[in-house]
Order: sequence, then structure tokens, then C-alpha cells
Amino acid sequence: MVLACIMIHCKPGTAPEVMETIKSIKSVRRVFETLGAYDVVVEYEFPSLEKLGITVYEIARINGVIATETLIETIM
Amino acid sequence: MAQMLVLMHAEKVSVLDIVKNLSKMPYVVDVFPTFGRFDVVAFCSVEKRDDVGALVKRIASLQGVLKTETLVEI
Repeated sequence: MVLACIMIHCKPGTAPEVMETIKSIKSVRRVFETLGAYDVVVEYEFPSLEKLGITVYEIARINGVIATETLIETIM
Repeated sequence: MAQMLVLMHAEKVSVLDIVKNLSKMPYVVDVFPTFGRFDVVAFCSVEKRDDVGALVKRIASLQGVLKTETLVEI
């Protein structure tokens, strides 16, 4: 399994609901609301890039989500 | 407990050493090198908010770490 860090910009005031919705997604290791450049941060474990793409698209469609940025683990 | 995410820009040649050092550091729960805008990502969990500054300073002082950006849980 590979890890990804997904960082999310939300409409003001929507971060708590966005976070609750994300908690229900399978293989999410960690999700928390943050101060700083992003509003919600997710640590996600995925078996394939295709599965990651589907999940990021699912997150991007949650009501309140404006934009996402994904950092994928490199195997060095 | 407070969680935080530390994003790092690092010298490419130092990335593996940084990941190795961070994985041994207290309060660091997950660390991995990444594709994309940042080179290393570290998920941390500190007991008290006052520990945030000290941990970030420690991470930023590692050999090869150029710049850090920290996202602290609210």
C-alpha cells in the first residue's frame, strides 16, 4: 500500500462537515481540520493510482470543497 | 493531543536521510517522501500545543531541510 497526503481548501465554515464525510471513506488513516494554508488534511492509504484518483474525485465533489492538492508517496 | 502536518522542501540528495531521521523522532507518527510541490511530509502528534514550536524547529534544523510549512489541527 502507498500513502498520500490530500490537502483541501473549503468554503468558510464547511470544514467540519467535509471532515465528517471524509471520515466515512475507507482507508483514510487520518483526517483533521487545520490552521494555515489548507482547511482539512487527509492521510490516505491506497492500493492503486486509479483508486487514489477515484477517491480524490469523490472528495473534490463533497459540498464545501473548493480545491484539493495531493502529495503521493514516492518509493525511493 | 494535537495533530499537525509538516511539509518540507529538501535537498534531493538528503531526502532519504531526512525520512530516516524523522521516523526515529518522537511525536512523528508517519513520514514519507513525496512527488509534487513538497519533498517530504511528516504527520505528527504532540501532547501539548506548546510542543509544536519546538518540534518544528527540530525538524527544520535537520541537515538538508530547506523550508517547512506547518498545518496545525484546530
